[in-house]
Amino acid sequence: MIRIIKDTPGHLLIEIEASEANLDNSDLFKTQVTELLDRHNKNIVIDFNRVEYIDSSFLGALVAILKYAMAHKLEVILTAMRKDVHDLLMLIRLDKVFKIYGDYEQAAAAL
Amino acid sequence: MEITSKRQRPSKKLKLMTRQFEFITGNDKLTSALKQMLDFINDNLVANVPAINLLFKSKIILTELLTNALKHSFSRSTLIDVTVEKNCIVITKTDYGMPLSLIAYANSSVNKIPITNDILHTLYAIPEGKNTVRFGCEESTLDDLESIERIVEHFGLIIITKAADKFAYNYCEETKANKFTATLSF
Repeated sequence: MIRIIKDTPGHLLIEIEASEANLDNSDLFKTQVTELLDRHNKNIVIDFNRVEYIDSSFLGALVAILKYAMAHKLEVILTAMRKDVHDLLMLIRLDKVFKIYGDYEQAAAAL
Repeated sequence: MEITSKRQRPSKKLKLMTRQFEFITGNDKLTSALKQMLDFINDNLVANVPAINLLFKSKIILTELLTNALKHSFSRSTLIDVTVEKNCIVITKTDYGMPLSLIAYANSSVNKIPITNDILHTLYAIPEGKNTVRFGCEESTLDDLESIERIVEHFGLIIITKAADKFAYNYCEETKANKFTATLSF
């Protein structure tokens, strides 16, 4: 479901490997990312470049992960979203609570 | 999931096209069904409408209705009716079983039924006749971003309510049909 792309002293860069981020994989995604937060205790940058489609179940998992990270004083940053995915996050105002950047370099610079 | 569709003859007088898609819940992905529906909408949109925006909104509404069917449907079969008219798209999901608990309030004297409330949105339903409610959503003031832990993690109804110009639910006691109807106007 996810792949670690980069492991730096301050953060992990992970990529969502699925093109469809939905009910079928949202629970697994939440489990895997929270395990990474527990194991590494680092901020996480999530690369969405492969995700073509996202649903409310997966958005719920993202928010659950954000809450979990914040409780541990960590950040979750989203990058490389396609326009439709980004537009959906904006529709339900998740752009107000997540830091979203166009690419990893911008996200890393902000950390 | 099995997909069947039934094309209904368009009325030249009304200039509308309707197609009914039947889903038999199984283990197939939604994307092929979604593509068929979006192709139908795209093929029947009249010229000079904001097609990209309408298709985006149709896509997220259909996605959430189908996801809801997989998560909550009481019946194995879910019907999706898609109608493209001259100035609107109407998408209706029908399944059969127990009504939403909202219906108990819909038939009372309350003006507004609260559903969820957090720092991003207040979601509510407004009674509109027997066994019918219309969903509404207001954006919150974002004055307390420290309360992120209170954000509701269920976005399906909010997505449809915000994407559609009107989103309503009706329960028919005789047929036990639950109907969710989203309308996009243009």
